[in-house]
Amino acid sequence: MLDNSIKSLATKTDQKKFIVKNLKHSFIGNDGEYVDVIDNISFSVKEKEFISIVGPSGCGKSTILNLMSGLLKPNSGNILLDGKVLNKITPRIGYISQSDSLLPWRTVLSNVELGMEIRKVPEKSRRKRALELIRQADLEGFENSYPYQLSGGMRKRVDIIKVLAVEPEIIFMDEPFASLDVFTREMLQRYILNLWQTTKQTIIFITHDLTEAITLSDRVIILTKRPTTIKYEYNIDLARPRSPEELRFNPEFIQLHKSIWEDLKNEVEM
Amino acid sequence: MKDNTNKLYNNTKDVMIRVTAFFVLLALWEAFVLLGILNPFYTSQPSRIFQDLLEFYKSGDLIKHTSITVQEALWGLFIGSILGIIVGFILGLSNILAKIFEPIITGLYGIPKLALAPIFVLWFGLGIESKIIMSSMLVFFLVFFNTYGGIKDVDRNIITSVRLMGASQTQIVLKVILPACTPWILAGIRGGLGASLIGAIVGEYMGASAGLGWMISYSTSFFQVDRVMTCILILFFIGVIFNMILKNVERVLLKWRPPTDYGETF
Repeated sequence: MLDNSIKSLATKTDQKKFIVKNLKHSFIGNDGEYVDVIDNISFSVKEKEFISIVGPSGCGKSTILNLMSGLLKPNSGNILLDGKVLNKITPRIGYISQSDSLLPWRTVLSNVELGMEIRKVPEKSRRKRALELIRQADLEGFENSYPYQLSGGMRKRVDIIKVLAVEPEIIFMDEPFASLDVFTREMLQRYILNLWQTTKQTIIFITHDLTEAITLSDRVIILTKRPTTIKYEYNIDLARPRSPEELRFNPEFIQLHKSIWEDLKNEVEM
Repeated sequence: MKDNTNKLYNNTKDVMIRVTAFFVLLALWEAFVLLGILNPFYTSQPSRIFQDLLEFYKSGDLIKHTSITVQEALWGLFIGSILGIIVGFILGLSNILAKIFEPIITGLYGIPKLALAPIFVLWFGLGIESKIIMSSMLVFFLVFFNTYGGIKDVDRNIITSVRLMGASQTQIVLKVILPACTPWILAGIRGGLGASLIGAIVGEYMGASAGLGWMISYSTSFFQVDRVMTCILILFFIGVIFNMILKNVERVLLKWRPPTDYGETF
C-alpha cells in the first residue's frame, strides 16, 4: 500500500511536463527568403524541473519559448504539454520577458492585480493576494507608485510577482535579468531560487549567461548557433538550496562552468 | 508638504507674470493710441474696449452671443472628439478597414475644410446646426489622426504579455489600448479646442443671426472696431478657460507619466 503510493508519487514527479519533438521553425526574412531559425530540436522538461536554455545571441532562444507558449505555430514538429498538443495560449504558463511589460499607467498594486483582474477574481481577494506578494517581494510602501518611479530591479520584481499572482504551474523566463546591473541581477537570482525552493513550479529559463544558468538550474541545455539544434545537455547536481555568491567559489561549480564553457566557446567562435 | 507649498508658490508666480505681461501689453496699446502712433478708428484702444464690454454686458447681448458661440464650439468639440475616437479605434483595430478608409480620410483631410462653410450654411441653415457640423468636422480629423496614431504606437510587448496572461480581445482594448492611447487622444482634443472655436466663428461669418463671429462681422461692416476687439477679447478668454480645464483633466488622467521637469539644470 505504502509502496504503491510512493511509486505513484515517484512517477508523478518524474512525469514529463513538456515534450518537444522534432521542432522546426523558420521566418520570412527581410529579403523574402526563408530563414531557418530552429532546425530539429527535441527535448523534454520534467514536472517541477528548473531548466535553462543557453545559446549564442540570435540563435532563436526566444523563438523556442514563443513556440512553447502557444504564441507561434511551429512549421513542423510537436509540443506536448501534459501529453496534449499545445496549439493555443494557456493560462497555465506564466511568461516573464526581458523587456519589462508593466503597464505604465497602473500603480504597482494594480499591475500585480492585472492577471487576477483578467481572470475575474473578486476585488477583495485579489487585493489581499497582491498585497501579500508585494510584501514578500520587499516592495512594501511602493503599492501606489507608478512604474516610472521605481528602479530597474524593483520593476523586475513587480514584473515577476505580477506573473506569480495567477499561480501558473509553469514559468517561462526569457532573459529576464539581461538588462540589469550585476548586483541587482544577483539579488534577483537569489529571489528566484528562494521562490522556486518554496513553490516548485516548472521553470524554463533562457539566458546567455552561463554562470546564471548553472547557478539556477537542474539542467542546462546548450544550443548551437542558427539554424539551431541542441548541442549538449548537462545535469547540474549541485546541492540545494544554493546561494549565488557562495557557488562562485565552489570547486564543483568552477569545474562544471569550465567544461561547459569550453563546449560553448566553439559555438560562439567564428 | 514643503514641495506642495513650493509648487503652489511657483504656480502663483507664473500666473502673476502672465497677468502682468498681459496688462503691460494693454498699457502699451493705450499709450500708443494716446501718443498718436495708432489710430483708434482702426485699432480701438483698451479703455474704449473696456467701456464697450460693460455696455455689451448690460444690454444682455454679451451673454447671448457668447453662449451661442460657446455652445457651438462645445458641441462641435464633443461630437468631433467622440466620432474621432470611435473611427480611430475602428480603423486602428481592423487592418482591412484601415486599408480601405485611411487613405480616403487622409484625402478628405487635405481639403481646406473652411471652404465648405458656405455650403454647410446652405445645407443646414443659419442656426447653430451648421456651425456645430463645421466645428465637429474640424475636430474630428485632429482627434481621429491622433487616436489612430496612438493605437498603432501601443507597445507590442505589453500587448503580448497581457495576451499571454489570457486576456480576451475586449480586455486588451479596455485595459491596454485605451489607456495607452489616452495621452494621444488628449493631445488631439487639445488641438481640437482651437479648431472647434475656428469652426464656430467661421461658420458664423458665413451666415448666422447671432454669435460672436456674427457680431464681429456685423460690427466690422459698421466700422465699430471697439466691438470687434471686445469680441476678440472674449474669444481669448474662452480659449484660456477651455485650455485650463483640459490641462486639469490631463493632470488627473496622465499622472502616471514621468514628469518632464527634472529640476534645475546648470
